[in-house]
Amino acid sequence: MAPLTLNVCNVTFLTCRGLAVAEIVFRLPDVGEGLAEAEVVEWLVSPGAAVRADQPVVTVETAKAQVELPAPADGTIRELARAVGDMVPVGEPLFVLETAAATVPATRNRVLAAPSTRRLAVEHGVDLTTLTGSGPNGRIVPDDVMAAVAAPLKPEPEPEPEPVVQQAPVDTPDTEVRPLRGLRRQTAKAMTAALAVPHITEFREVDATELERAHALLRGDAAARGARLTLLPLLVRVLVAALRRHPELNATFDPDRAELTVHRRLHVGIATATRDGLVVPVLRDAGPRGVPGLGREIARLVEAARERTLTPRDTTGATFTVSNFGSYGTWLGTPLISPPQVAIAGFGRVRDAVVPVDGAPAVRRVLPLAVAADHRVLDGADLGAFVATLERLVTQPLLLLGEDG
Amino acid sequence: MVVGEIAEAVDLLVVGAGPAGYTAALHAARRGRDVTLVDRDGTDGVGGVCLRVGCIPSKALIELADLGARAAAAGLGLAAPDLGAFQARKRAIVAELTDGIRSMLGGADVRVLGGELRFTRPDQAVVRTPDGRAAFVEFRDVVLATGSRPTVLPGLVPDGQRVLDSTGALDLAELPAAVAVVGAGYIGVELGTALAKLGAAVTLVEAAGRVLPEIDAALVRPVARRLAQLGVAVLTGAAAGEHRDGLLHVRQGEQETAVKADVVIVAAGRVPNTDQLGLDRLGVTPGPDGRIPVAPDRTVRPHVAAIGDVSPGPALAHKGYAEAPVAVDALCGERVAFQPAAVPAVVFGDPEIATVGLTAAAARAEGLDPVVTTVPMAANGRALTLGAPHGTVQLVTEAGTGVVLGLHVAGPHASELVAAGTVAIEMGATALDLADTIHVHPTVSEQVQEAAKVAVRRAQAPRDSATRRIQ
Repeated sequence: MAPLTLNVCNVTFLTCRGLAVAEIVFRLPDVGEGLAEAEVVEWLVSPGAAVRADQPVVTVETAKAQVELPAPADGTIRELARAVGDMVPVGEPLFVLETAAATVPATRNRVLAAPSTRRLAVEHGVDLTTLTGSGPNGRIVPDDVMAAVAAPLKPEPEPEPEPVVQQAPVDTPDTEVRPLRGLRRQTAKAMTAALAVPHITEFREVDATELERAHALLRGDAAARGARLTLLPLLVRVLVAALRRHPELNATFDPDRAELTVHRRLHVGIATATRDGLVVPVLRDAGPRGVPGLGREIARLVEAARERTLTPRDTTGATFTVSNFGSYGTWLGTPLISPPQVAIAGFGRVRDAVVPVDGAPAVRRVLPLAVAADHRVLDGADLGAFVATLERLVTQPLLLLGEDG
Repeated sequence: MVVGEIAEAVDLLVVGAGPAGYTAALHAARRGRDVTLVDRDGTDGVGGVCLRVGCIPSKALIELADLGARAAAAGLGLAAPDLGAFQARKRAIVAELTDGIRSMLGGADVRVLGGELRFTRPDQAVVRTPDGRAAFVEFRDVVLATGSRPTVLPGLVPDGQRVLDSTGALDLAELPAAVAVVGAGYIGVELGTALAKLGAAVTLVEAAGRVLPEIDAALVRPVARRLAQLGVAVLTGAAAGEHRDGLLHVRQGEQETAVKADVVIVAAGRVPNTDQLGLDRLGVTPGPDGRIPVAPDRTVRPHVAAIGDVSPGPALAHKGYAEAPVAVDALCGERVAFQPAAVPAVVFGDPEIATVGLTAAAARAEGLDPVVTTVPMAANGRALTLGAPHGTVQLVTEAGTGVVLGLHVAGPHASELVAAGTVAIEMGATALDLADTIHVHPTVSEQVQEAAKVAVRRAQAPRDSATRRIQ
């Protein structure tokens, strides 16, 4: 379950039979995924029920995860403001809790942090209101800020879609209207956003015979330790090395400010097909990880994506994305960039192919790959150079031994 | 732009040489920027209103007047202060301060240009120099720090003789027998108190229901008592009309009064100097109050920042000082923000009032649960020895945590005491932190510690505090 900061309640003090009581209107908190709403999945308590602080009250589903929201204090549930199935915008009331005044936690709009800490936070782009400080009274200390620097890069808020004037569709004997919910709706939004990016895509088939040989060796090694190793961690390792040589592809672009932010750290989004739809968990700090480490982290993320237990940290802040569409048999496709990122790599299925080797036909293992880049900030030449590096590393994976960790 | 007018390239332009402007210029120069500082009054303008004709001269006058009043209270006979001699002393203080800044600007290679500046393009401005020339500058970055000027009331336009603004009042070389001060905000109260102590018959004319209407009534009470003691007449709910034949006509509802006033001082607030800069050409639009909306890093748009009295917030020199390096760092491409937890404010009345952070009402409005602890100045030994045991210390803390939210003081040296509260708020200190901090005995500052101790004791008696909150 995702950790939540309860900074969105309104507290009103009332006097009731001579006792001080308070009414807390609990509002849907910003779960930190840049998401604007969540769907009420299940009420875990009934109106009138007594609850303890931190006891789960309601399960909501955002596009990326199911989250249980706990009571902010001991008290009695007075009102459930929404029905199951409702889409609730962030900041809107979810339930009303009546509680003894003395137990009400202070609603802190203010940030407790020394001026030097606040300066550090601004320098690193950390929003202190989203942090829970480790000092007394939740005071934020420099270490808390530095810990948050490793936390999600905030995705750009999605622009409100233009209102479209058209007749609302209705069910007829021949049709059934299915409103998009949750993940599907989120994917639809994300893909519409991707449409605004002018893509240039380069396709190439590269000789992966040596990479597969390396994979076979490493897989055997992993199996001896009881682990399973797919080809994807090796491909990510190759990408890491290629992005080090072409850092301009590990970037985010803000068209409104006309600013490109090149990231020194590499957070790789792993496009993952789940039962409910497409989820892109983020492999943080792929740079310093070795192949087994990448493998373990990818396995954890894919598992969490399928179980819908990803935390906000697991789903935000990617600086580059990989789509391994070969894993479900696709030969080659056109991957779509997820803004504000500026590039994406897609890998197809490795297969036997007859290719000329030294002028003679030979059967080699061939990996089809496609890399798309945002033409506003990158040109075909940049893309070509990057893909050439990828090819060189895939065909000669021993070059990775020359990489600094 | 007419052909032939060659614009001179300027790296970083600062407009206005007041506290915000000269600080920005120095900071930018230290960062290696090539700085041009433009002020209407050229090098004479360095220091701005505050140093030249505002805070510094007024504190000198207040000190002089208070010295006389305290000497008299202590039974020491002193000759009536001579305002002529005061003017010489004031000029010396101002010169010492502004010379210091001029030499720092010179040492930092900041070029100071005199003249009225108007923007002509998003990256250009023309400066009309006093000798009638027009210098065109093309700048990369600009910091707007043109400050504010006194509000002019219709019918009471300062003439330098009978109707004065605060600047004129501080230039008085002779004490008028009768003075009416229009506006009993902090400037009006400070000037009125000082002139009354010097021996003038003073009348304060205030539109609101009491003096210092923006400050908590409990803090203002000792000041109002002292004004009465000094013989200052206070007309509230009053609108000043014409000044004719030594009389200021004042209307209070239906009633019209004529107040004897050889001199009328208008202290009815200040307006930002943003209306004569050609800001539309710069692509900057001030808000309805004339202030320029700024981002947390004080930029208005790329390459343009605004600080001091022209940006939103209190029109106080120390706010401008603090904004200046933020604006410059932002223009140099750094990620920065002006983010004080609190901006302290002081009224140099008698006693002084100083306030920082949230009042109880403001805390409630923010959704916090405040506890107010008040201790009187009368219990403080040092205040008694100063002959000034008037006033109160108000400590506002958060229920439960004890985190200091505000400190509000009326009393001797309140202007200095408030620094402790500001540090406490900035650091997120609690009442217990203050209570456990050793304060020097005997000083007025012990009263802040005392308030903290009382707050801690009350918090340890939960029954009491619960009762208090219900009320």
